[in-house]
Amino acid sequence: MNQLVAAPVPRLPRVNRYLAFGAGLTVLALAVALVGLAYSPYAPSKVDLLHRLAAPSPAHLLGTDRFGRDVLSRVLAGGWRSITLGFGATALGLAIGLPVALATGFHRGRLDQIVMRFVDALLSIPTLVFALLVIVGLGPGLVQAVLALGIAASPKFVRIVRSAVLDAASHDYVTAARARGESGLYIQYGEILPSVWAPIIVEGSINVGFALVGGAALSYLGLGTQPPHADWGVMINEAQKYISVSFWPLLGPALAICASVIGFNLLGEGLRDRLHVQRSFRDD
Amino acid sequence: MGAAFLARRVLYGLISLLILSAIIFACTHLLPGDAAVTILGEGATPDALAALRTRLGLDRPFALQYLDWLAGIPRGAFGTSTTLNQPAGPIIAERFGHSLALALITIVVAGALAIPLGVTAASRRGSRLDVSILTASYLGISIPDFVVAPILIILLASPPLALLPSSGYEPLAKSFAGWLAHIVLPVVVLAFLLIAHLLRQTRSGMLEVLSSDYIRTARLKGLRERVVLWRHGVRNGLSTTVAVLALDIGYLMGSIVIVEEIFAYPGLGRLMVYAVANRDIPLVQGTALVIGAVYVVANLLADLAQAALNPRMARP
Amino acid sequence: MTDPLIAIENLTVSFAVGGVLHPAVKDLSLTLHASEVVGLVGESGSGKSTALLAVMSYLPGNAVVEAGRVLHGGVDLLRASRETLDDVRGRRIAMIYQDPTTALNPAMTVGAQIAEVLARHLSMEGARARERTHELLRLVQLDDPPRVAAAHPHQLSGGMQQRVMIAMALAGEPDVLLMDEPTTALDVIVQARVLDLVRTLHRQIRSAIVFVSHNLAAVAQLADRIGVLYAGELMELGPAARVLEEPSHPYTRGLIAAVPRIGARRLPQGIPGTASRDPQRFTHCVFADRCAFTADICRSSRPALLVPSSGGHLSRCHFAGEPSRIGAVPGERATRATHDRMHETSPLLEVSRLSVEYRRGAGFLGLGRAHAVRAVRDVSFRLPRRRVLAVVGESGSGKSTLARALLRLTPAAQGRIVFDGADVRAFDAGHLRAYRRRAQIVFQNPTSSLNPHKTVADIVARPLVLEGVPREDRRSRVLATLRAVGLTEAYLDRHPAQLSGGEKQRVALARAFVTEPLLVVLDEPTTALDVSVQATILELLLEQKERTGCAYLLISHDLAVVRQVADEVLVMRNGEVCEIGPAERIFGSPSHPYTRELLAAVPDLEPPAARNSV
Repeated sequence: MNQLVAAPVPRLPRVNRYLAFGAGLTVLALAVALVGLAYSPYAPSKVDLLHRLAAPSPAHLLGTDRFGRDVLSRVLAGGWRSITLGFGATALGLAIGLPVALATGFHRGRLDQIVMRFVDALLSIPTLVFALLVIVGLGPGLVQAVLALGIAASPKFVRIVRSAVLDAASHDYVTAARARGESGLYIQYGEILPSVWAPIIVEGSINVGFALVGGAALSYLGLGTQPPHADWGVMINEAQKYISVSFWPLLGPALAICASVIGFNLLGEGLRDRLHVQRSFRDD
Repeated sequence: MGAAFLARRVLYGLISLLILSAIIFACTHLLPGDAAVTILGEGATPDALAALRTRLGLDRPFALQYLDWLAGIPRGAFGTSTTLNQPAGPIIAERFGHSLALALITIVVAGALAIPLGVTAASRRGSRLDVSILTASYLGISIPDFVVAPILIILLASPPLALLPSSGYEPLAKSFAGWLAHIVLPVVVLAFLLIAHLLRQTRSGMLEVLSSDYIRTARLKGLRERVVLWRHGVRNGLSTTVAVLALDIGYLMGSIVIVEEIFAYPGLGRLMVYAVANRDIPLVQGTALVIGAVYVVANLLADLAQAALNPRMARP
Repeated sequence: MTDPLIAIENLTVSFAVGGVLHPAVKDLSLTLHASEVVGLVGESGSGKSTALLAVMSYLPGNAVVEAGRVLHGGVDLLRASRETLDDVRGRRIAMIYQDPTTALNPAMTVGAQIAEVLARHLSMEGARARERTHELLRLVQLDDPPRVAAAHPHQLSGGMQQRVMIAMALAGEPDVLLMDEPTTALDVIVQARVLDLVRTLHRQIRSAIVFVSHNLAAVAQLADRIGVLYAGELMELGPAARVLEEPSHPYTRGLIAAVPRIGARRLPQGIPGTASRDPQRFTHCVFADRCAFTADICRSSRPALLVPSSGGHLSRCHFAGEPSRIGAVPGERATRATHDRMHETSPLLEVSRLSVEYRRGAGFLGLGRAHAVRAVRDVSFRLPRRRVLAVVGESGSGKSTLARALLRLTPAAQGRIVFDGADVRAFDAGHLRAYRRRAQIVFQNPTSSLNPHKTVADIVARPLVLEGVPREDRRSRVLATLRAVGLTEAYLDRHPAQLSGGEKQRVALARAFVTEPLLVVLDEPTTALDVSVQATILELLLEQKERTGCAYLLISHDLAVVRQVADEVLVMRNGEVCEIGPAERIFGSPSHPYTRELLAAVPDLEPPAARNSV
């Protein structure tokens, strides 16, 4: 039969694959973080100058870095920082973005216009640059990075959530609520919010990954977690200088970051299909 | 598309820039931290600090400082760099030129690859080609630039291959080959990520277009699929792609910061990292503003291009 | 008899959803001969659109042709190659769609889109193509063809866009035109004109037409033969006059009885229940669960489509040859006594010189020019209790705006609204809240007016929560109201997605009735529903009114519906009142020319006599 597609081909098998894979990687990343909080084969800062830049071996599963520190241990120890940063920044971004989006999307009018112009202007600054702006004021460090990336993520969330809010508000059940005399707050949180969870979950999951990378980027630049704390971004920076000698110190953190980000991304995308959410064009 | 539409869009752009400048200024001045202390150090005497503050104009009301700064911008004056003790304007301008070259080349390369691939993937939805393109783009988005870069450096810029320099810059005026050699790796890294983004967005924009009613009409008029795809599909899909391209420029600007730092490429991004690390406020403000302005201008151009492609969007 | 142009043979098309095959069209056999007009009538779920797309062999990726063929010129289109189809589509068979706004490419001029067909199928280019394009536009009665040809679709009105579509379909000089609800998205007067155009064109060009619609009256205007589809099966097929005057299938009879007639005040009769979507429904008569005349055989064996031995036309019913068994066509139901002239006792609602404005173009950051558009101008009327005032008009008439202004959902610019003696526009927050319990609104689209994340119980109970009714009392009141709208306790925990259109609208009504309002504004309450369900909702509304003594303000564009339920009618155009008066007078002897035009435009079930003389 001729295949002239007007309607989508059922895609369920592939969706489950994404979701499963993404969920799996995410769980792995979380496990690494949790384990790293309590345990690692060696102390992350234990120096062993006799075995510097060593290739993987039974003693050091991921090799050692330029100070002879065990890469695996440092990956484990740095894990919780990265994951916390990812979740923290996302939670902060949502905490700011969600109420603003609900309020402006529901009330509309002059205030909405002004706020959206403001948000548009904020969006013209790339996330990393904005984070740098905030760091200029606050100074470097993990907490500062969380704040910076969280604030930087909020305009994007406002945008995305607001468009879901506008869509929900265009339905008659919102007009019906107004016609009943419901209060504005009830309509926003009681009627509109349930329709808006899906894009929040999707974009939130994806953002955890990107915030994680953003945090690692800041550390890489020396503006996030400061050495000698273990952190994936810092590790990559240090490893880069000795690349010509040995690339093993790079491998550990690189794999960790990639796996985490891919995991959260796939999780988000898989959820998107599951929850039937439209793709927004803002894939930061 | 009338003059009214044009004027309106330009006005929107200017207002966005204005708001942007206010935000940037606020960020750098309202957050805790004293520029004078940063420059002179913790051990400086109160007198020295006071003198410096007066010299830098830090003791004046916040609003006045902002307006002063703002007034200088149209002239190209961004204040004086506190760490380099030179006017910030010329430094920023020179670095901007380098970054612009990087960005433009990247966009051309990425666009030339991603857009046709995206259109093809959309037209063959569900096929093996589509799935592999999609998977590749997911990976591309997920791997950060500071992971890709070292890998490329290992492969291409280190012994035994050492084809390309791993850092630095050579002016075009001096030698084309040299200039090109230094630009290749940064462009490849930037393009890698931009392609992944652009690909996904082109594909999903095209998918949406291809499921629309007028595509059905075109097919049921008996038009060949090739015509349907390009004359009806891409024409409409292109306007979304253009919008997306503008967004990606913003993303690109962010990536540039890291990539320039990795390759020690003397552009705006590297300048900003330096400025932030050294709390050189005028430089930070200037670079941030220029970076944001690039995005605003790109958006404006995208709006205009969209209106030209799709007259329905031209209503102000 | 000549060979048919198109022969659909035993077509069965199903859709694969989540691994299960859902049949949309089952065993459809239909022929189309040169110059004839076949009307296919069906409600939602009947499969009529799928059947049409199958003729063009344009089915979605998850469609499965389980059986059958579509023959055209000796070729089975369902198994033809893309190349073959490309030569047939547009050239031999052309299609016209329901929504012209989305069916035309927004980025191309209208002329270019027509010229494409000329270039592709008739090798016409350049000046010759331009000329022919203008000819075609003139043919569809569009003035100033060069201007229209140079325009983009969004610059034309809905009626003009549809004419362009017709011109585009005719460009390839096809023998067959397929029309999928071509007038459904248009206003009633425009609809009438487009139908006229199709009739005229058919007389001139003599192409065969398949006209698909849910609107039996529209189909009656054009068709030589009528086929009735239900739940994917063809229930009846025969000459138009016969099917309409002597329908043999109970569903057809039910459908005819459910169509509100503008000619007489006769309450339409709905068909209880909803169409089955059970994939296994074809083991018996698919209409059995809603049919008033079922016997055991109907529930155990599937009837075949045949001409009964006693004569007549094709019918899929075990009792096709026994009209006496099925009974006469539902006769005139007791005419509702028209209430004597609405007493001038203080009316529940009195509106004087109401005007509502919209601001267009809010400007940037709230500044900038914004000009006011008067959506409602100087409207006055009275509405006593227990009466129905219908506000009729086409789109843009301001009727919906009026409704919203009455409930203060939109601010009025001028005028007075007096409800039960109180000035509504002067209400403070407290009085406004109280007002909103006594005046309710029901919307057109039940899918949009119910929050998909809430249960029926939540939805219906919410107004009581606002009123402060204690929990114990709430449940009983909710149940009582649900019963009043014909729903049972079983519905309490369901979500809107699990309900049919009619059921959803009942929930919306329950939500409105639960606080026992004095005034209910009904904004096109039955427009989004199937006609067989419409009648049951209208019955419900009238019952409720009699029982509680509330008053209705009915907003509608459907004059036939209005004829059945309204006591008084207000006709609006461009925000102004054209005419207002008792229903009998408005329908019997309308004075305003616009009212007359509106009434004349409503398609009636009687096939026009003129059509038969060819």
